[in-house]
Amino acid sequence: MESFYRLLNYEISSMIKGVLLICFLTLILPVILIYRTVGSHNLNERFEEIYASSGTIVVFYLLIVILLTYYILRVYSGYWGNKSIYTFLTLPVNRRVIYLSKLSAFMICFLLFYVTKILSVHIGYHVFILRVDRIAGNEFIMNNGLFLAVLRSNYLQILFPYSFHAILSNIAIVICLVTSVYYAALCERSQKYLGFIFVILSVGLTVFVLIDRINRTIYDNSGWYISSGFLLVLSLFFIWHSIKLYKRGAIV
Amino acid sequence: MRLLKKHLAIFLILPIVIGIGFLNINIYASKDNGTMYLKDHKGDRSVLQDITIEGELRDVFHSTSFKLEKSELKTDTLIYSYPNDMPYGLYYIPGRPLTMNGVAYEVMGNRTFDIYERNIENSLVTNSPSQSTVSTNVMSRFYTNQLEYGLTEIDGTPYFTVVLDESHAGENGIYTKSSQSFIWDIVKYYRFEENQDPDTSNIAVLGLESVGDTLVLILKNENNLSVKTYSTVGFELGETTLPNFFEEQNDSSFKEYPYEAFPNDDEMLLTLSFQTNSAPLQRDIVTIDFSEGAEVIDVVELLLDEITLNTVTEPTSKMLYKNNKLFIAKTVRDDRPSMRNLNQIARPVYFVIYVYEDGKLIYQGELVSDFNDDILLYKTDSTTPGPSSNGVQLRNFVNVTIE
Repeated sequence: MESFYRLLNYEISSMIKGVLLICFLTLILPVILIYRTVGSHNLNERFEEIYASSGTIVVFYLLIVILLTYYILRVYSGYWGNKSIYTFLTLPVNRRVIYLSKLSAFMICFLLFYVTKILSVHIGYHVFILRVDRIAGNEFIMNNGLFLAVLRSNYLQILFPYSFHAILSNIAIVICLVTSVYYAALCERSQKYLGFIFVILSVGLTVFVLIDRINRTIYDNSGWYISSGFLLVLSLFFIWHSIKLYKRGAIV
Repeated sequence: MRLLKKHLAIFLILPIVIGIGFLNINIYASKDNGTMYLKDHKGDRSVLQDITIEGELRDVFHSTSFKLEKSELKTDTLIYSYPNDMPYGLYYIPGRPLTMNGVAYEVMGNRTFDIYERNIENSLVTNSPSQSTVSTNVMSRFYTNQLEYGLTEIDGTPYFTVVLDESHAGENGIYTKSSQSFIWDIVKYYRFEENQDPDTSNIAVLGLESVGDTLVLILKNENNLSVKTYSTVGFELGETTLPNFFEEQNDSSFKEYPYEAFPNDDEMLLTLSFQTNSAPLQRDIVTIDFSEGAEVIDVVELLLDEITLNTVTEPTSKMLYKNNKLFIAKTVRDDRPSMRNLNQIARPVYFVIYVYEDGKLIYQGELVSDFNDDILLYKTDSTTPGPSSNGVQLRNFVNVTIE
């Protein structure tokens, strides 16, 4: 446990600068985009419409891709330069702990990214209100507008899940995304290319779930639970097989 | 700095967990920050003591229910897990199906009428209608109202008559349908002797209503309003006439007589609210007591000054006559000159409450809400919202009742 905690702190501190940069962009870009988009010609538009038309959503997806790419780079950095992966594998700790500490670091950094994202929605809303108020006074400001925007926007519903099945779905998507990216890198390193089938499967499923959620076409709980269950089972497989690859030393 | 580096995980996890919790809960905790209160414009709200006005202001994502009981307003906001369709057809708009007891009715044809019933409890779209037929001896095709005005129901059983104008001399009837039958049965044939002679013919059928277990035939007799009551098996129970209720008509052009009916089954009272032809914003509201025969007990002239009826989303219009007072809850659209530069849809809508006693307005109040925030969307935009906006972009008052 102690070695896990020490490794975890090491992993986080070695990647925190890059993650903080991505988080900074996550925080600041939406605010700039929203500020730019609000003008006297679209005062009647609601926050969720401005949010969508400002390009913030595309930027968010782009930043997720950048974050996951950064994770892959973090895995590969062990093989380049100082070749720290070899040092790690000779440490007198269970190799499972080495894997889990890196995975936990990825998770924690993803949560940091998420909390910055939802903070940026709050700040973005206040910037929107201030901007509208500056241009036209309070004539165009809806009472309780952020609450209404979150309820009415399919995209914001994903960021701010309300019901248990939506929260579970979010957890499953994040776990699957992070474990599959890590697993994909390990598969490539150990030349187990068959593993990519499962990675593609999980990415495909995640995309389908997100499309369904954005279109709000899932109307019964079982649909939510089945998709979340599938993603979690795939995640468990990724973790199990990654640990196996670590233990065998196949990744070097 | 070293301590921070050594325990970076803890230093990160704590603010992350607190941040996620706070930023999510903060959104949903603000569900009760919507506006909803009663504002008095005239008189004292204590006159609302005897009644309860309930309803919801909702879209497909959430609903704020309100209950005005003993002059006090209580509200509660509910968020739906899944988008929840708006209730349909709670208010009869001429030309649209008439909804009674969770069933939408449509009537088509002449002489032989096809009646389409569609169960809308679950969804209007998926249910195909069931069809049944009323065969009548009616030869005329001149109707006073939409054919659906001839439909009413008592304890789930529908009744039907044909809303014929005064040119019809022959036999009309009240028909009913037992649950699984496709053919409607006759309850009572009736004809008007006055209509036999074209010189004296003057009785037109405007509609069929019910109060308690009594059927009420609404008639226009020259300029008088007449009602005739029947039991469900066709016994004549009583009748009464309110003289000079309708305006004098100079031209013989085609006229309809749309009205709304609001029964108070407990006290056997029926309130009828007629649109007047000359002033479209005026309502002539008459209440008739059927506890012993039939007797007109109250007439009110409601003049909706400088407002139009809210027709873009389904408007609310509810009335109840109770304890010698007429209670009206209505959504109306602001039409004052200061608002005329706005698109029709962007003009504010008010939920108003009127109370009349002895034909005089004794109370006027307004249920102030965030309804008009939603139509800000149309303030600078000239597009009119389609029906799909209702509930998705716009909230609406639904399930409004006065008891």
